[in-house]
Amino acid sequence: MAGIGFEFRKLFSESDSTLGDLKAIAYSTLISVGPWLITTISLNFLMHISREYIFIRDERVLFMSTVLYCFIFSQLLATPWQYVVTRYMSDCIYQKRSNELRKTYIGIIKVIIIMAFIIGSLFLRNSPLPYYYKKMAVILFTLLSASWIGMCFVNVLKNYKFVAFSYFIGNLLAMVLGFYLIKNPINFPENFLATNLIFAYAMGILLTFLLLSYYLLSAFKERGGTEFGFLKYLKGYSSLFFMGLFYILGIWVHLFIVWTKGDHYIIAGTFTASPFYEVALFYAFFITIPSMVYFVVFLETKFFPDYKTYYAHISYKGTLDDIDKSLATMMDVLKREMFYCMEMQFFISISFALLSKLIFENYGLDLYLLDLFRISLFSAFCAVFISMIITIFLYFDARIQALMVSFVFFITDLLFSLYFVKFGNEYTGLGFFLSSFITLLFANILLNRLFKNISYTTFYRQNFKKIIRSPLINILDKFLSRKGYLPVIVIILLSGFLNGCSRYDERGFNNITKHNWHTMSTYDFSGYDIQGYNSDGADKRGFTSLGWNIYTDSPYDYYSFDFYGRHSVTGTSFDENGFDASGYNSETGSVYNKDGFKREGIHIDTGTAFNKDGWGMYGVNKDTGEYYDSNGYNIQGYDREGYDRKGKDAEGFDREGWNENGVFKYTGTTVDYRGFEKDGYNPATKSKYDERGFDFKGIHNKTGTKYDLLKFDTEGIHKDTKTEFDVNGWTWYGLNSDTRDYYDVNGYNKEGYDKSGYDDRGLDSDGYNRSGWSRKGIFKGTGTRYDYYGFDVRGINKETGSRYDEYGWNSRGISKKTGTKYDSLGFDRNGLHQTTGKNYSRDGWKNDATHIVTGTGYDPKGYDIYGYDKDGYDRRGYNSSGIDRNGFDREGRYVGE
Amino acid sequence: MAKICLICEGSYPYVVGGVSSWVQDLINLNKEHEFSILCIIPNEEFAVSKYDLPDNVKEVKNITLNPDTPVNGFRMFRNNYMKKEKVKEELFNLMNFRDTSVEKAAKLLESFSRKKYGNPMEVVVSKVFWDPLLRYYSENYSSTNYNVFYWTYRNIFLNLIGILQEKIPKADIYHSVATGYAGVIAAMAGYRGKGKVILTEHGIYPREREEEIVHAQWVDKSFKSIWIDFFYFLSRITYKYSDVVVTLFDYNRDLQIKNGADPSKCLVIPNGIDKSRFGNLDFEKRDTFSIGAVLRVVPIKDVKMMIKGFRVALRKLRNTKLYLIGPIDENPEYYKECVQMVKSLEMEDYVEFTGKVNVADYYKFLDLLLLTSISEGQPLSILEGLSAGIPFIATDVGNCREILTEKTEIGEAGVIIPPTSYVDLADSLVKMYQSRDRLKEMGENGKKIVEKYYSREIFIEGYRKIYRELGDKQWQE
Repeated sequence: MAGIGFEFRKLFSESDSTLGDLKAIAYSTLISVGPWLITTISLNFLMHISREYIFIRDERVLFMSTVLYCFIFSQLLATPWQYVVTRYMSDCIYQKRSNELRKTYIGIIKVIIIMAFIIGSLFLRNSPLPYYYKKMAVILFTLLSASWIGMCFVNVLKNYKFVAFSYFIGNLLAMVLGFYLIKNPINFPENFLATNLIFAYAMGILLTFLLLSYYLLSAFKERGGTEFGFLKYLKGYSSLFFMGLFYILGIWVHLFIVWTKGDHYIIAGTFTASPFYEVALFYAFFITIPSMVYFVVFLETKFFPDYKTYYAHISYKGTLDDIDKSLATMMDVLKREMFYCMEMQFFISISFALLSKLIFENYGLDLYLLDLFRISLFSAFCAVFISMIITIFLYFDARIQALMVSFVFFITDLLFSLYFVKFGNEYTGLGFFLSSFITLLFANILLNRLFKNISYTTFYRQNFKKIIRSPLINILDKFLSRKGYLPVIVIILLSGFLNGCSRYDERGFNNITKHNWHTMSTYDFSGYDIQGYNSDGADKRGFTSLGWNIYTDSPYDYYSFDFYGRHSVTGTSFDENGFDASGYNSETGSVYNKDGFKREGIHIDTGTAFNKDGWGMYGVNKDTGEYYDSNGYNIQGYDREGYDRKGKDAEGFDREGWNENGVFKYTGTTVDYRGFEKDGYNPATKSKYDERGFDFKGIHNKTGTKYDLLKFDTEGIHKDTKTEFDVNGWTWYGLNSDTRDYYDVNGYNKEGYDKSGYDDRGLDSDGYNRSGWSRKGIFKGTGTRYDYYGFDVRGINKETGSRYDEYGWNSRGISKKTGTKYDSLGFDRNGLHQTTGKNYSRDGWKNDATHIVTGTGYDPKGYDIYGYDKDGYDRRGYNSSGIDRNGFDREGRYVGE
Repeated sequence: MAKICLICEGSYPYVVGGVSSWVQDLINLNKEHEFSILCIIPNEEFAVSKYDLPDNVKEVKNITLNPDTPVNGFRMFRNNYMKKEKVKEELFNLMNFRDTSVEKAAKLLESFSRKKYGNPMEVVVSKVFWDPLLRYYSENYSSTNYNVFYWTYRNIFLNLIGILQEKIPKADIYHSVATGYAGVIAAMAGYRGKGKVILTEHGIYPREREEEIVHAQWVDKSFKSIWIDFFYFLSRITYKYSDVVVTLFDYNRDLQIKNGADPSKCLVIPNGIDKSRFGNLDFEKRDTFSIGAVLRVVPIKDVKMMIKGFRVALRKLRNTKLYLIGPIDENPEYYKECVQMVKSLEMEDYVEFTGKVNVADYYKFLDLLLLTSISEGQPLSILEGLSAGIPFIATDVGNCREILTEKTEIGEAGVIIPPTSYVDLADSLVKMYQSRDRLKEMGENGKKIVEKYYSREIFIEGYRKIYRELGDKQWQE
């Protein structure tokens, strides 16, 4: 069972940050009031969507009333049983009878289902509602009641997370299904919308119940005990039953009185409703969530450790001084935290009481509701703290006090409500407030009195062991249990009878008086009593019944197992060597492991800590005191490097790393790191050498030594520097030690060339410079003494013999005419135009003055590159002299032809 | 004729042994009196009779320890909420068993026995008990484990008050066969004037308990003294209110006086043996040297020491066998250990556990008897063995030394060795084996010693006289 306290403490101690605190608070909220919160949300969601889609108000109210009835009455039915069954479960767990839990769960569920079904059916017998609606409502009521029980069981196992999860999943289904059914309702003749919603909600709760049951039935695998054994506790622990009953009645009885005598109306001839009061109560309880969360966290993290210390001191090893001191600490914490919790909740409640007026006025709500809400706030405040004090009472097994408080709560609530209901609506809620307030004061007085006498009471109670006998239960068992046939009962009864008669067990204990025959005391010769505890309260492993080991003064015994047999390191019921808490080995099923050692390390044959070959349990050698014998081999026969006497390691690889199949250990393939197979063949180069010229053994084919021509060995280590860099700081593959790049700080690589391939003299590896000329005047591109344009190294054109070619370009492409890289028409020496970058201009002219479209010297409009037509006139009609076709100049003067 | 109530603690008629045989004889030999028997036993299951009750036993009543009485709310309220300062003060004084005054204790116990403060459970779970207990703890034991302290005193008082509240048979004479719980019942009967009180002590009860408690693992070290003081307290109160205090031999009488008994009340009446029972056996001596030990196989008889001593001696003995004669079922574990020991010492051929048999069949051929107990009173087995004419090697416990070696005018009837010393046992065994003449002489001496000092007649006459005198006194009052 996961201790939730630990998880809490972890959350709250590790969270220094606001985010961590938020996480802790969210988690605490989820597990303490999660189911309630989730249910509230899903019901509100269903109400909201029904408001959107169901236009008939009656349907909605019918649905809500049904759900409210189911909730209130399922709680009334289940809560008393929850207390009884929780007690029964705790006793089962404490007395190591956990094997009875499965049947107990099945038994209580049977009881609850039968009761809920009968009560629900009787209640709705005379209702005018349609039969299918009634059936659905009874089913919902039954399932809800059963789910409370399931929740209570899982809570005892402290798996609050799973409870919240089940309710979340169940309510999610209810919401989704409800949403779907409102849009696509099943057509019932009457009340079909409410029926659909109830159906959806019942399905959701069914899922929750099934999840809880699945969890429990898989947690409780053993089928011991009887199904109705817990009913015995009705006799011995009736106080718990009535305590639960009175408390839950105290919570609701004022509402019943308002329903019957106050402002109310009847829905569908079946349910009574007082919507104002119900709503006020609902929100009032909603606002107490912070204190409930705080209380759960406080109980688990702060109170419970002190509580355990106190009882540990009482049960063993404590002096009276220790007992008194731990009691004082516990009370101090309890009072301080309760007071803080009250303070906090009071602040919250008073804030809401003040703020509520603003909210109510803002939304134009009825001010009558405001008064109701305010007084209910403080009633809920008191009611929540009453339940907390009852919880504290139960921690100290003060059942009578708990019963007294809940009875006072119920009776005052009943009487005050009856009294005030006569005065009319204005006084609604006053009875509940007075009752809860008085009860809270009363509970507080009882709590103080309890603590004054708590040590006396605890010792007092130790004198009485409850033995509850109830023959009636066996008869009930027979009727209720499906397999409860007479012979079985007879056998059970007989075996019980025989047990009672059997006088002494094999240890000499009488099972009735708990006395030992041999010692005439309650202890046997070894000093252990019938339950296996000695006078220190410790069993043979040193554990007290509270799970504390007194030998090690820790929760673990010498072998690091805890009380329940879980190992502290492995987290399972076996230690690292496969031994369980009683020393049995999981592999062999005996107290010896497969090597013949006991848990203590004693060998079966030799009776010493070493086997006949001189090896200890953990492989220590008798002679050397180490994990290796004098020959250097360990218990498994491997030497310090991990190789056996044949030179093979545990996986069959030899010292070189090869196994019989030629697989290399470290690569997992048939070649080693360097690409060689086992026989020295290199499949990549298809030779005995790798691409660098080294063979399998690392000998270079050119030098015949371990080093290549550059003095690097096969690992890349330089012969002289003994590092992977040579004297100039280069690795064998050209990485520079300073720059960690293939180029040094000056930009040259190992061979001395820069990124463009030129050395520091500006020459490439073939001896050409950046312009492409060799020293001998040969051009790299053409392989002749002339470049692509016919110029030699000195810039003399081979055709013209001058510095310019026949088109007027020099070796660097400069036009003789313009002095630029472009001629007068804007073309460079390769014929590309300055603006377009293509071999024509923007107007479509090529560099030979032909037009790209017409292919002639004239464009499609008949003008040449200079803008003149064939007759020599431009677009305005003037020739190059500025005279038009009729002989006039631009000023209009006639100048003749 | 007087009505006599015999008070036994964990013995007659449920446990076979020296004390029980003595009681059986006492009843059989006083046919003119009517007996009722009050037995204090740990639980009801214990009550399986091992003896045929004589006709003059009119009633057997059992008192079990650890009473589980129901608690009445009203009386609890009275005990917890009414002023009870006086009784709390008295109880506080009683808790110091070592120094408490016997008279005041008797007065307080008398009020408890009248149920003035309710039944035993109502007393020990109420504040009448809790408050003085807290005070006594705080003043004397504040550094010890409170839980164990609580349970120690709770159990002591629960049982003490429990047995005192039991109804006891009406009688003229209350004859307790030990101090302890039995003694305190008799003493309180005397204190309340119900009859005259006789105490016969075989062993010294608090000394035996002390021995047990010192070695007991179940008693917390800090609290052993409480138990020991408590048992001495029981003896003191018994001695105080007994009219006659009888013991079997002088040494024990001295111890009684040392523990507070009034010397003028103290008498010695040894056990008596009917010489016709074993005195006229037809001897069927065998060729082998037969050694015997008549005992219950239980730790207090130290059978293991006997086996070890015999093993050591065996090298020098020829044709020898050791018979362990007596019941083996009382402590099966110890018996198993003994058998295991015989096996591992490879003595299966030399040692025989006979179980419960007719002792006379063995006395016929035994040459030597052994007694190796760690503690004894006046062992009947020695007197029986001697009356059959068989010499003894016995440990120096109880009355053994006196019987075997100190009746000097007759001579020695055996050899005394220190308790637990198996080396001495082995030495003596070899010596006895080697000197058969001396063996025979000792056998003869033994017969004479029993006849002179431990005859049935002395025993009968002793008690007959006490019963008559006290019976007369009681009638006169």
